[in-house]
Amino acid sequence: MSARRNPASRARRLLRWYPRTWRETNGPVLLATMEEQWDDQARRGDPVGLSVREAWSLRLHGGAERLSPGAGAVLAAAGAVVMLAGTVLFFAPWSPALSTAAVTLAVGVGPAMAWAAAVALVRDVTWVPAWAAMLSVVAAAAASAAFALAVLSWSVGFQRADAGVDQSLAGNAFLGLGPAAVVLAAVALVPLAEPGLRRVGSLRRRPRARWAVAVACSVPLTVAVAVALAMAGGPLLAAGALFIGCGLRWRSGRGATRSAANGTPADEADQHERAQPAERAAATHGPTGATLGEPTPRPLVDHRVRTDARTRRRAAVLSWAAVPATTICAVYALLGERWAAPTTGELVEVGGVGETGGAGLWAWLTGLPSMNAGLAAGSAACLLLVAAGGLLAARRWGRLGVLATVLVAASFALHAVSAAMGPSGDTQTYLLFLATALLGVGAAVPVDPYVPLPPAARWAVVGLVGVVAGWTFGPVTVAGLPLAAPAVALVMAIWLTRRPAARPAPTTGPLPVIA
Amino acid sequence: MPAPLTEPAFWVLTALVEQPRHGYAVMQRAEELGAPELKATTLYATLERLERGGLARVLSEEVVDGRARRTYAVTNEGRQLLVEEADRAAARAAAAQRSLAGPVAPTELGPAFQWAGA
Repeated sequence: MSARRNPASRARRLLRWYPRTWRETNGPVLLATMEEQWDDQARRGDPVGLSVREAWSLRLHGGAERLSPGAGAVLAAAGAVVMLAGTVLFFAPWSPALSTAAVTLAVGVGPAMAWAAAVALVRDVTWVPAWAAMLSVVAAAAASAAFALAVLSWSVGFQRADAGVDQSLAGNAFLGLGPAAVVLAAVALVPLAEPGLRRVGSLRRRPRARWAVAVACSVPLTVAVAVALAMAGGPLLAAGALFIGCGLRWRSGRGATRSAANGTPADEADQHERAQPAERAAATHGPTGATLGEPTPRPLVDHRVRTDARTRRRAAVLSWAAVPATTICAVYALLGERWAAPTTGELVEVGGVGETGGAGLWAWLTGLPSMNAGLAAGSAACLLLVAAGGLLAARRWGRLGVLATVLVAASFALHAVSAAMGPSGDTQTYLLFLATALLGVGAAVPVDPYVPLPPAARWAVVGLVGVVAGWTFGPVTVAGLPLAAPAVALVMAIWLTRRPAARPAPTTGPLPVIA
Repeated sequence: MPAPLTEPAFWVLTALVEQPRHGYAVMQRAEELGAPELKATTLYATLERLERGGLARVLSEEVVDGRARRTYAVTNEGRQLLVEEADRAAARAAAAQRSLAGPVAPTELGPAFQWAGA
């Protein structure tokens, strides 16, 4: 067997599974270590060579090593683009012939890429064995393929049933492909669920029990993930979040690599070794963890910023004002129909709604169904809450906080207009789309500093993620908040009114001597 | 509370804490100490992660007999983490020893044993 005759050349070939940078940095020492091991085996008279397990170990570790945070960011972005392209293709009226390709892209290729990004992120955050990482990626790819085929099969079966034709094998295949996709997705999820259980007290030191729990949890988790992703825009949102997560890890990792002696160019590494012991210790161990001569990195957002008492008081006043205002609106929206005055006025047509009333503005107002009137006024009253939140956001995020507040306020104002128009069809729908998009972008704006891209691309990502998030979660939020606002306002008011816990002042000067 | 050290990380740190060692020496020492088989691929994946986490560092790189050799050392953080890990393991072992040394009351055997005995 050639692997036994010349194991070094085979191992060198298998090292190509590793990314080039890793291979260049660590390849020679890894190969030398294996050669030393083979020399020892030869001295002991054991069979010498690259075993099948070692060969697979090289492949798996090499493949897993390629799942770096940088690769994860690229995969997440590419996955989002592929899913978006598939969705556009699917709904495009001019391309019914491309529906197979559309489904393959939207539920097959795109999610598989996003899953690989998730594995890269989890692997960077915590320790995931190489085999588990690769198993997750392969199982996710198989699950995506099975799911895409199941969707296509269901489509074929639906068309045949619609035409009253007997089912074909392709039409019935989804009965097997669907469950297969769920099982494969559960297999893909297990390696990512297991690290999360390492911090669970009773499972910390019991790896077998941890894996068993991860397996047991994986099927319901898969169903939960599938439901979350089935929401409009859910997969795109997940891919966007993965892109940001991987990008942040990649950026921080680059800094860490630069500061590690191993990652520096040779001359810098030599300098590190030649440095005086005290300097070397400081460079390696701190005191702050930064290398010599490197400025301490400034945090992206200063989380230590504490809301001052005046801002807190103002926000509290606004929240308390919102409590009765939103309560009246919510109660009227829900119960107003019961208190409607008997019909005495002339029937007028306002905005397509036939109701009673006088004339002009009053007629319009009294002509609205109570639910619409309550929601419209409630959305307007929510602006008090938005303003209260805006005061805190501006303090924490500065101009970004102000921008976020303006966008969210515009969203609620638009929803107020939309609700006030009554159930009037298209215009209301367009306004709702615009309101939810603004809400999503407003909520996404504070994420901007964390997106590891140049400004233009950063804002494009924030805008895209915001719109998708808004269209996914916005309708429930803008329609539901006017009804839930009394409780939200009350909680916020109480929280803001409570006296913040005083922090002990930092001690300066020498510690007191205890006799 | 930090997540426990993984099995390979524990043995690599244990081998390095005595003295700086190169890759193959770490594998040999870990095996002598009773570690399960440590492959070269797992060793370098572990060393890289330890290095990234500031628990180990590269001390030197040299070529010996035409082969690249990189020597690693444990950092203060790595040593501290190993001390904590060893303390936890010792506390667990001591608790088990105490339980094993104590008398076993018949009622503590559990219902299955009582049923079998009856």
